[in-house]
Amino acid sequence: MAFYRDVAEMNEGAVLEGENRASGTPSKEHSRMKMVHLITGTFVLQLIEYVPARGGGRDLRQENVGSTHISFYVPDVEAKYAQVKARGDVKITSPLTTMGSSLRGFYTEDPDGIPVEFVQTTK
Amino acid sequence: MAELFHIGLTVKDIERSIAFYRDVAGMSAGEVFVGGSKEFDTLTNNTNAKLKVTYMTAGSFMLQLIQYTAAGGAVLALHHNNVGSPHISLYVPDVEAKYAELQRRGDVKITSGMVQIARNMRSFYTEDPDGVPVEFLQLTK
Repeated sequence: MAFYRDVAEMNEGAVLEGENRASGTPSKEHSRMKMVHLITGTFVLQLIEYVPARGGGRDLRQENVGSTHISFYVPDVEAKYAQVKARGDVKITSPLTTMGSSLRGFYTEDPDGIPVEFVQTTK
Repeated sequence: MAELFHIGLTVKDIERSIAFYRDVAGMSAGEVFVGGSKEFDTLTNNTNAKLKVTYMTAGSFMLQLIQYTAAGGAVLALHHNNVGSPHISLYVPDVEAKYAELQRRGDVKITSGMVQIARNMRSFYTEDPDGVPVEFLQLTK
């Protein structure tokens, strides 16, 4: 949550905590969950922590089938890169790179290893 | 505040996934283009990756589907409670009708019954062709 609030600058909603009863999900192996919604514009990112979690430590690199990544526009990607670097606690996984004629960006990882890109449209 | 550009999903077969997100999820399909470059490799720490890419849209939300045709990786075991596992939740105006429609189609894996998940939310889960959980949800009041 701190990553998406402080680094990705999303708005944080209330943290909900409870028993996972008839959740509609296919799993019956967990008993408790914490959930929070982070919002930017009309997009809602739901973060869920299952207790106990399972499947941790997997390789979430973008080339793996079923992996996800998140890409955010920022107004000034050089400033964002400098800001994230200055924090010192976020894994930056690529240098600033220009793609084509209108995009410049870099990749980080969220605390679970999900690739998170920050990109600026340069014209 | 940062603004969302897209959520990306790496898929095994882009045409199969486009058909799901277009015909089942009701998103709009864009053009498929072929990608891969030195710059993309730099950003994603890969070598000689080749891709097919498209953007599916629903309102202002963009879902980027990527199929690696070179330098692809493993197939992840996806489950709602696996750390790092994505899921997608889409509003529908009539969740009972959606459930009946998907049951009739017969080619979509429905992974739950219909559930009143909250006082004002009724939903069920399916899986996309790669096993990503996709929920259809109606606000009931």
